Amino acid sequence: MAVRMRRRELLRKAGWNLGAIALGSQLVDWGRPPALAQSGAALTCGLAMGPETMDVTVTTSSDTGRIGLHLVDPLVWQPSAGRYAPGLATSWSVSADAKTYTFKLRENVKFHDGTPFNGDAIKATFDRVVNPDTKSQLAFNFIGPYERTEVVGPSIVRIHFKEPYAAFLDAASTPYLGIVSPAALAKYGKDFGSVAFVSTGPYMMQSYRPDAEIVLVRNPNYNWASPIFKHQGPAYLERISFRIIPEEAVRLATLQTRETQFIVNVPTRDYQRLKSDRNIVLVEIPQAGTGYSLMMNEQRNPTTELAVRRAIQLAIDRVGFVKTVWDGVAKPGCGPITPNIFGFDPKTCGEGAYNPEQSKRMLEDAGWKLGADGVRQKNGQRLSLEFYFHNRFPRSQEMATFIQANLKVVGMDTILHNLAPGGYFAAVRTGQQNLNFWWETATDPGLLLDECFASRHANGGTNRNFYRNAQTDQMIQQVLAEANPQKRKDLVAKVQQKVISDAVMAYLADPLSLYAYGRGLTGLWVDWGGNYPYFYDTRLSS
Amino acid sequence: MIQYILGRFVLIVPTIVAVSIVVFLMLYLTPGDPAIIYLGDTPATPARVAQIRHAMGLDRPLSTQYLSYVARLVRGDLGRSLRNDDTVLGEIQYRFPSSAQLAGAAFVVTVTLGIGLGLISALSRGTWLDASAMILALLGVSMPIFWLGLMLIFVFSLQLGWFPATGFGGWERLVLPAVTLGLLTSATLARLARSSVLEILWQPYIRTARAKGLAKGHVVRRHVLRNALILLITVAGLQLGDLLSGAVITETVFARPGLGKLLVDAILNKDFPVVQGVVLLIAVAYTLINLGVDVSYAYFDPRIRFE
Repeated sequence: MAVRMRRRELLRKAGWNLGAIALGSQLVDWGRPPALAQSGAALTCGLAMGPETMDVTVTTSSDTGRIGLHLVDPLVWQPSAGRYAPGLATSWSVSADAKTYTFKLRENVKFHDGTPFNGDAIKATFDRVVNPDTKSQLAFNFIGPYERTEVVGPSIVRIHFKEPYAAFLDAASTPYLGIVSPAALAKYGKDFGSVAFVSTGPYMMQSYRPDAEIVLVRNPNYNWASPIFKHQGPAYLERISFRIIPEEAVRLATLQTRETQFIVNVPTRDYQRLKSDRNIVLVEIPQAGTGYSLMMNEQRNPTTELAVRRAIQLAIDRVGFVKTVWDGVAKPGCGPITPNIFGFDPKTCGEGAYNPEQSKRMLEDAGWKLGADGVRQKNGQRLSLEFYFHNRFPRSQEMATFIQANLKVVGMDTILHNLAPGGYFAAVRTGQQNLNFWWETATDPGLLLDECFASRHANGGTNRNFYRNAQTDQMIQQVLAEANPQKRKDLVAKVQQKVISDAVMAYLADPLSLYAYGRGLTGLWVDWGGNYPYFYDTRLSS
Repeated sequence: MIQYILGRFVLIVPTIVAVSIVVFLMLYLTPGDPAIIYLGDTPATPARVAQIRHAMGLDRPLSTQYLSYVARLVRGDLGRSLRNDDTVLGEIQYRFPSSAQLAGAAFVVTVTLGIGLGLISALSRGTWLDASAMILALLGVSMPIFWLGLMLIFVFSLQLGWFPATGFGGWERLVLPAVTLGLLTSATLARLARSSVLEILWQPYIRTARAKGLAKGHVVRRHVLRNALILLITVAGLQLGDLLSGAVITETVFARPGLGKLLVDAILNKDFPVVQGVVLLIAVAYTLINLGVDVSYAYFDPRIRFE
């Protein structure tokens, strides 16, 4: 919202501020009269990336999910790892074989277009997700081996899966399987998601301007909030504007000029300064998922050798990596899933700790002898690694350069290929790389382990380790199928131990989700996985 | 003259056809499959990739794809984005005002500052004014636009609070991005203006004008500037085209929607319909700007006639 200044006020401010500069002040004066401040019950939130669509059931964008969570209601909420609370479903049961989920639905819920929410809407939404013409991305992954939705009655549905699927409750708690209005789907067709997005959430989409701003307005009829929140009825804030501000320093600047009141992806280099800023609240939550990791292609020499992969793990200084590349705002990586994920095995943290001397010995023992150029050789082959990454991966060049330097110390030559996404995906899906980065944020251990280590994803999919192991496959299938929490936890631990023992990947850093807001904002809720700040209970003082 | 302009308009058609073929083929020849880029890091099996390729219409023969694209184009339909199914026309229409506004404002900065600095520099050759103007031009050429944008935000938004740091809509949100973009392009124009004016100052007709006792200002306006403008408007015209489509860094720093960013994202994602639509628009814009530049020659230089 533009606020115009009178000429006299402009001149007065100019004089005042020029004086301030003359005094040499380099600090932002938060207490200054907020010329550009926005007040009232409207929140402006600075996001890093512009969503390509607002249809959560199609996208792969976290930012669409962040906005979309305000537009939809998940079937269930997941307030802490593995614990579920009612959302649009008031109760649910899972069959013993984890192939059938029965949900009792909340009644008297209406979509933003006034049509009723019921079992038919769930069927329409889920059937659309698996329809190839929808080109669904994350939701297609989350819905897993979906077979069909059986509408038992207006307020009871049964979801059937072709195979046991224990991850479905977790998937249903994300915004990506939010239920959308069948009437709106029919009305808008291909324009659903850009012209309109109609669901049941506490906010409604008012305008969608890609690369600029998405504005949501309060749903005045909202009366079906989950009991995990602090109030019932419509949300407190009348309006939320999500502004797209890609450059992180500028995004932070808008918080300081009060063009925004809340920002995501706070620059880590400003972390220490902001921590001591009395006017800014910094929210830091360990991000659930895999963390930043390194995949090692087992089908391409020399990473086919277990000794080489182990030596790579030992050669990477993860503490230094976090300090240098991530300004200390992350934790050194432990294993294939982050410590906050259900079933994380703390024993994995001791494995593969930084030890360049041991790394060198391991290579020597495997026959890799140091050559005159400082690079090891065996049978005339240099220990040279092709490292592929793409420029959209955060700080990919810095991370790759750090690893290159670490590997050089133990006698490995790393060739960096920083590519645009087209070239990158073409290369890594066909296995032209020895090394590539991996990062994923999700909350179910089964899905995370499956995409990195299951051989069904090694055929040009996400298992770019090209790791194929029948025993691991079987254990992952068990994790995906096991609904009993204790048994599942044990199985998750076994998979972690197995893939660590096989030195499939190197685990670099577990990032923090960083958000910042001004002191006037209260009642923020963020999911335990750290990805979705939610403003339903939020108030904003002027 | 009118016949000449009409003839140039007709030439736009083969230009568009040629551009559409070249862009279409270039996109197919560069590595990367739009379906694979679209699926990115989601765990897609080869069967799923095939489904997405089919949904995007990429499994049809190249010639069929091109012909259906041309058939749509003739009907004025630029198609839909492969990634989000938005209409390409809608994507362009939404961003064009922002880009046109920024390009227009930056162009004013470019011309005013570029020609102004060049003229001052040439007319005070060898003095401190000349040196200062050229140092300013050198700084303009050398400064990374990204850094300049951040510095302007730091001073004028954070420190002085005069302008918002980001956004689109309202003159106050236009000043900083226009100055950032204009300062950079004005540097080239300033150096060109200086050398052009210096060259003209040595011409016999300038000496004659002075010998006739004409006032310095009159000589500069009527004889020096008017002759120098022939070259300068050619370069400025090309710069206007660049400003319209090539402001991606400025758009990113100041968080403005724009055609430059749309085009770069579409190229990286191999979103064929969007790339084709934006490139066609840019081709038409360049053609029209060139036509405008050619026509303006006749106004500035009466020796040029279109017969």
